[in-house]
Amino acid sequence: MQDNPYTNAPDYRRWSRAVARTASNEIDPVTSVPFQIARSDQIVSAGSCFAQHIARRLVQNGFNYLVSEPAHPLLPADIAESFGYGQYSARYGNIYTARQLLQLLRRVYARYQPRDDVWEQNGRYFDPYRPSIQENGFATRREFELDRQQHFAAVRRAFETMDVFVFTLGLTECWHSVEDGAVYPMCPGTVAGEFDPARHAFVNLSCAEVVADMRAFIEEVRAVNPKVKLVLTVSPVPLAATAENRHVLLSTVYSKSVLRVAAEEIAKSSDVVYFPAFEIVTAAFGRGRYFAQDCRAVTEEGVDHVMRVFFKHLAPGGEVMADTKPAVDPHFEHARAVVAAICDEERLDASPS
Amino acid sequence: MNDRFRRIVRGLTTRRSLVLIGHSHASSVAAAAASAGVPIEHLNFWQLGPKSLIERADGSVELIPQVRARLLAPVFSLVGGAAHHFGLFAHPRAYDFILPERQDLPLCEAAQLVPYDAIHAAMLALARPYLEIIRAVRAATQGPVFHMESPPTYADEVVPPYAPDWLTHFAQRPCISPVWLRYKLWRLHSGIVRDYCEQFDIAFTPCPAEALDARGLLIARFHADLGHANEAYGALVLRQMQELSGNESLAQRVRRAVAAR
Repeated sequence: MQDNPYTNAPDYRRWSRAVARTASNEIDPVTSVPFQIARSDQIVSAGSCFAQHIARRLVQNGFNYLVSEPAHPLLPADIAESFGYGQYSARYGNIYTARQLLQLLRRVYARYQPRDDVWEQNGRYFDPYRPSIQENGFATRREFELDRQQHFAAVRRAFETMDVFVFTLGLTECWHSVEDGAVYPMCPGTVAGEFDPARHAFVNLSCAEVVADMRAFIEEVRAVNPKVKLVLTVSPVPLAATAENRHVLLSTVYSKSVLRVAAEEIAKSSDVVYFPAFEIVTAAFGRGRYFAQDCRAVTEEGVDHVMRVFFKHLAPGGEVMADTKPAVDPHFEHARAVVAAICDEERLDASPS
Repeated sequence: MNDRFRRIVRGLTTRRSLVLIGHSHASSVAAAAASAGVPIEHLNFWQLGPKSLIERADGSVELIPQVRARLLAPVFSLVGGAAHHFGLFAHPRAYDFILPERQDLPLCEAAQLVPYDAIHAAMLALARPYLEIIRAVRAATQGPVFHMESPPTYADEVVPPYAPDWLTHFAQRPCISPVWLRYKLWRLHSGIVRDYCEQFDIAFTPCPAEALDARGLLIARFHADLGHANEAYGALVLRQMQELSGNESLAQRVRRAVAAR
């Protein structure tokens, strides 16, 4: 048999060796990476809900996950989480599309200001671009505006100081304002706001549009931070619902296919690495166990596999789980102790009962 | 207590002992009553101890029968009232928030803005055990229950003197939080307690207006310590209690309730 391009191909290029004959939990589709993440590197992440798993694991494993908009330590962990703190580096909530990411960058640098600025409902104020941040919206318009200023400053800090940016592409389907093209993370009227067919329109972004948006983001973020390295992933989580008039499975496969191709295109650029979380979770070797009962949520076992491969190649030394006990605010505990001491004095002063 | 307040308290009469139940804030009222010779049944949780409460798995509490038996309406509660005291001391990471009903109040410069709802949720979590006790008092009382608002905070220019054992930790004046943050936390706390009282048919009674300056801060002569008001303030609260007890329609309701026991 004559030599051909497959004759001496390494094992990883052959399905029989790389997949069929490899224990499923050891399958590792990463062959080389252009850079690695040091423990000292400041990592920022954003993206769709799967990106939250990546952020959580980076924190748990002691990486320098940059949180530029942390909860105030007075807030108990469960309350902070319910207000969108700690999900990502800043309180931007899920960013499902490349267009939404680009829009955020342009907004924080005042290059773009959507006309649809705030949604007022029953005396509460919702941010159209992060409607899930506060379940009941902001209590006052003043708080809404000051919080947004604070948020924008935090996003700028994150963009300007990060060493590594991990972004998870989640969707191609999105809703935008017909007035100026502003994209919403959620269709108006779902989490907050009111849907108005005259003002809100559906867009299913093409591969070319995703690539263009992502490239524009990379160019603009490097203008403020030339050293940043990027890691791109595609979320393996299927669409919860589609706005296209077809089966949600078809829309899911279409959307993920577009994102996967777009990621491939973008990763050809220097210092952008594509990390195959999507493949690890969705490939047949998982035999469904990387998805929960609803065939949508990714199981911890699936996340484990993804992060094992992530740490092995991109962030060596991240295998050991760190202590994740929530931190207690020492000031709060101290103040409480002092107040208890004050009240204890009152005990001495109390009249006989 | 100065002569003026002694006269005020003595000028009012009561038909029987007033029932006062609470924690540290109740002490100033009890002291005022003792000074003025006003009969009062003071149930102090510091003295009653934790065994006076039966805690249930769902977080609610019940008073033991010996305490319940002493709750003859009308009952005046100064239970808790300190869930906002964590804000008395300046946090190393300055924070502030906007109180919806007083958006005019200043924000601390360079402080992290914390969403009102988040501060509300955090304070509610701190106040919850005390709210459960107030609810238990309500459940154990046949007749009116009044909850007396905890005293407001003091102005920056009249920070009360420190108790000696605090000096080791909070010797410096800058450790005290900015006045408007303290004020907002107090208002927020009062709002939480007021809303809770409304749910359970408890009359939330605002603190005596005479104790406040034009800004709504506690006048210096009523200070006891950083977290509490003094006996003179207690005398004003005692007068409120007597007035509430002396209300005719209320008195009828009380008699009916007592007769029904």
